[in-house]
This record gives sequence, structure tokens and C-alpha cells, in this order.
Amino acid sequence: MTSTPLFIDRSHPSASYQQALCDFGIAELIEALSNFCDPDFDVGRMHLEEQELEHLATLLIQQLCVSLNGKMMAGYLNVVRNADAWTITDLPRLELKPLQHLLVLPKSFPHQTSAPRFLDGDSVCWLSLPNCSQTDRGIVIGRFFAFASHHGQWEWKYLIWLKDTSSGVLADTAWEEDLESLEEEKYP
Amino acid sequence: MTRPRPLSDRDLALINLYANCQLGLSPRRFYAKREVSHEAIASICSRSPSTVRRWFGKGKHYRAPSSDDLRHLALMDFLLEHYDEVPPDLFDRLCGSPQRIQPQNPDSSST
Repeated sequence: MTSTPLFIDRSHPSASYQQALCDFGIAELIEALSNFCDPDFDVGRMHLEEQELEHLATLLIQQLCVSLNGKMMAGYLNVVRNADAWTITDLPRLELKPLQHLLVLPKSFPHQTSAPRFLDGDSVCWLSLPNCSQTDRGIVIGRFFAFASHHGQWEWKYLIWLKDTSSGVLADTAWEEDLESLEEEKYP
Repeated sequence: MTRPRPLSDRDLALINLYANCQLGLSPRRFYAKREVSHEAIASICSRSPSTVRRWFGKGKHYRAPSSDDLRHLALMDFLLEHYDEVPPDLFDRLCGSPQRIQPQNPDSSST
């Protein structure tokens, strides 16, 4: 087993990153979520972790992206062009789509499920994350359909036999969108 | 071959306790308590470093750990906190450790 470094960089997000969160209202959204209270949802009783708040904000923004429609956009454009005549209370209320249920397999499975992008034996690697070029690679040895909480819907997840097993970990799972093909020969 | 022992009320209560145990520690909390690398967390949870890095991702790069991952980290945290209090014979039954880890130096910080 290879030794692992005990210390790593724990730098906080840059000032420009924080500024962007403020400029585009994301900090405000997280703040609103962290203090939210109505008859159906009281954050004070939920003891939400920081990453859960961020996760909620991300899901809501993703929901907004898939919920755009012409009527709503026209209303917003009206606000943008006639800002002086509008107040925040004039904004139309959004009706977001309900999320799929994590305990109920979609009724459309498997007939209306997107075809899996990767097949058994494909060489793949995890996509690199910002500020970190390190990644892991391996071979697809299986897949299953699972609830992806980061999208609020069911998606394909793959079982990957790792190339580097020096740590003693032989295999791991990964969501389809986190993987990319490696131009290598298929196994064997 | 011996016959399986029937379950007593105590056994059933313990099974129920374990099945409903909310034991879990988030990667961020574990990481905040100790200067540990993503690779070490990967070893504790039997995951790849790429998966662990996503547990610390922001926004669209965040992926949630499973309840199994949270339990691994909670058990590791418990062991780091209380290992010296566990009788060696009892611990060996749990992990089959061939060697006893040296007790924590009282001069060093505990967390």
C-alpha cells in the first residue's frame, strides 16, 4: 500500500468565487434557504449541514433551468425592461416540477430510460475537477440504475474496476456524467 | 454442525437498534476535525480518490456520499477518539489486529 500525504491544501474559495456567488444571487439563495420557515418546511428543525444547503441551492437552480418557458421569460423580460415600474412582489411565482422519488423506481423503466453510454469492458476515467488534474481510471465491469440526488432523478451508475489498486481498493462506482471514455483497447 | 441459536428478546432489540442506528459522519466534518488527505478518506471508505474529491465539490461538482460511507467515517472517528478505551482482546475480535497500536501520547492533541 502506498503512503498517502497527511496534509493537503485547505485553502478557502477565492474572493472572486465568493464575489460571483454574491453577484448572481446564489449567496442570497443559500442565505434564504438557511433561514426558511413555513408550515411545510422549517430549516431550524432540520439541522441542515452546509453541503446540504449548497446541494438544495444547486438542485433549485437546475430545476429552474429545466422549467423555463416562454410565458415566464416574457414576464421576466418585462421586469428587466421596465424595472422602475415593477417591485419584487410583481414577479410571477414559479411552479417547479416535482422531483422523482428516490424510493420508487420510475414507471418508465426500462423502456423510456436513456441508453447507457458505456458498456462492459470500456476503459474510462473520472472527469477532472476544477483545480485538480488528478483522476482515476479503470474498466467498466457493470452498471445499475440508481437515484442521483444531485439531479433529483434516476440515472445510470457504473461499477469500475480500478487501474490503480495500490491502495487496496479494487473497484468503485461512478455516475455516467462523471466519466469519459479512454481511447484504449476494450478489455481484454 | 451446531444448530443456529434462537434469537432472544435482547438479540432482537440489538438487531433493531443496529438496523435503525443513525451512525454517520459527513466527510466535511471528518475532514474539519483532522488533517487527513482525500486519499486517506478513500482508503477508510474503500473508494477511489476521484469519488472522495466529489464529496467536497461545490455546486454541480458535488456528489453525495452513501450512508455506508458516512458510517465508515463515523466508525473511524469513534476509533480515533476511543481506541485506547477498548480492551485489546475485545478490539482484536473486531478487527483481528495482529499488533496493538501504541496509546495516544498524552502530550499530543486529541482531536
